[in-house]
Amino acid sequence: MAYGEKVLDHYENPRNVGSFDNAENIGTGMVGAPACGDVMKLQIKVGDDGVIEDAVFKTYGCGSAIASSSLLTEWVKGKTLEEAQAIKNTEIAEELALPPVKIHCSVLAEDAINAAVTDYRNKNN
Amino acid sequence: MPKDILSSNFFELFELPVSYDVDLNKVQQHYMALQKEVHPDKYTGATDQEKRLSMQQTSWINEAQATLKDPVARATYLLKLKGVDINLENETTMDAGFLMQQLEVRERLENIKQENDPLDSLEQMSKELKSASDDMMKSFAQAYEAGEIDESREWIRKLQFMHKAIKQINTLSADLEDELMG
Repeated sequence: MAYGEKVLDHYENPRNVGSFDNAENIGTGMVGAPACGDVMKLQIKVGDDGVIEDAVFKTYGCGSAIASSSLLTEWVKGKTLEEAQAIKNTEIAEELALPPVKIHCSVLAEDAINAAVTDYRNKNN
Repeated sequence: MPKDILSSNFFELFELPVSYDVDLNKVQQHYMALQKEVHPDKYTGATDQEKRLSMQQTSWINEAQATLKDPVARATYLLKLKGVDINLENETTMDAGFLMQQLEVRERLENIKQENDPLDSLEQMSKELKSASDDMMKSFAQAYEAGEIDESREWIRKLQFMHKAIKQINTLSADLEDELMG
């Protein structure tokens, strides 16, 4: 299947690949897609002002799953938790021009950021 | 012979009780017998309609065999018989601890070539995953027998990840062996 230009760019040069050590100001989201066996870990580092300072990910899956998580880590930096949670998978799919069979990869990314924010909130309330 | 092949479910077709534990030898025996019975070659002098029916039956029997032999497909089919359709595409979030383990397995596979004896490591990993996967199948069977649908689904999802990882290990082993053979 032909991947779009933006998908290829994020796939070949993924941004923000990595891990944060577990800490109070880190939120970790783990999600998986049983249909294809993809696993995605997305972490956010949150400042005292509630703004996401940094974000990293590790994804084992297809090009679209990697591109979706790479793009999302770029987008959430500088956003508040609420703003980050408001990002919809359709925006990711649109930006990357994902074909219909790959939409679930963007859903995975949306679920991952939600899980990361939830994890951070659970740790900090 | 089963009255009507196309309207029998896969278990009826192979004369097996509707249960997760299936005797794979029996599956194979019934499969061979049924295939012989409906084989299109027998219908050389038959009408087009008869030939078409024979082809439909053959493909139903093939699907039945493939489903019963595959642990995940069999589990999914059992739930389907209970009216529970699993659409894995739409099911994402899961047990974080389990996913972390899956991530670790994949991280290790990514760097397996740097290990001292990669082939040995792969064999060990494969053994561990297979044994964990066997345990999960047992857990699925228990949950299914107890009518715990949500728990059954969860085991199917986990098994799907396990099998993906095992497949990846098999591919890696084959590649490594090829490389070592030169």
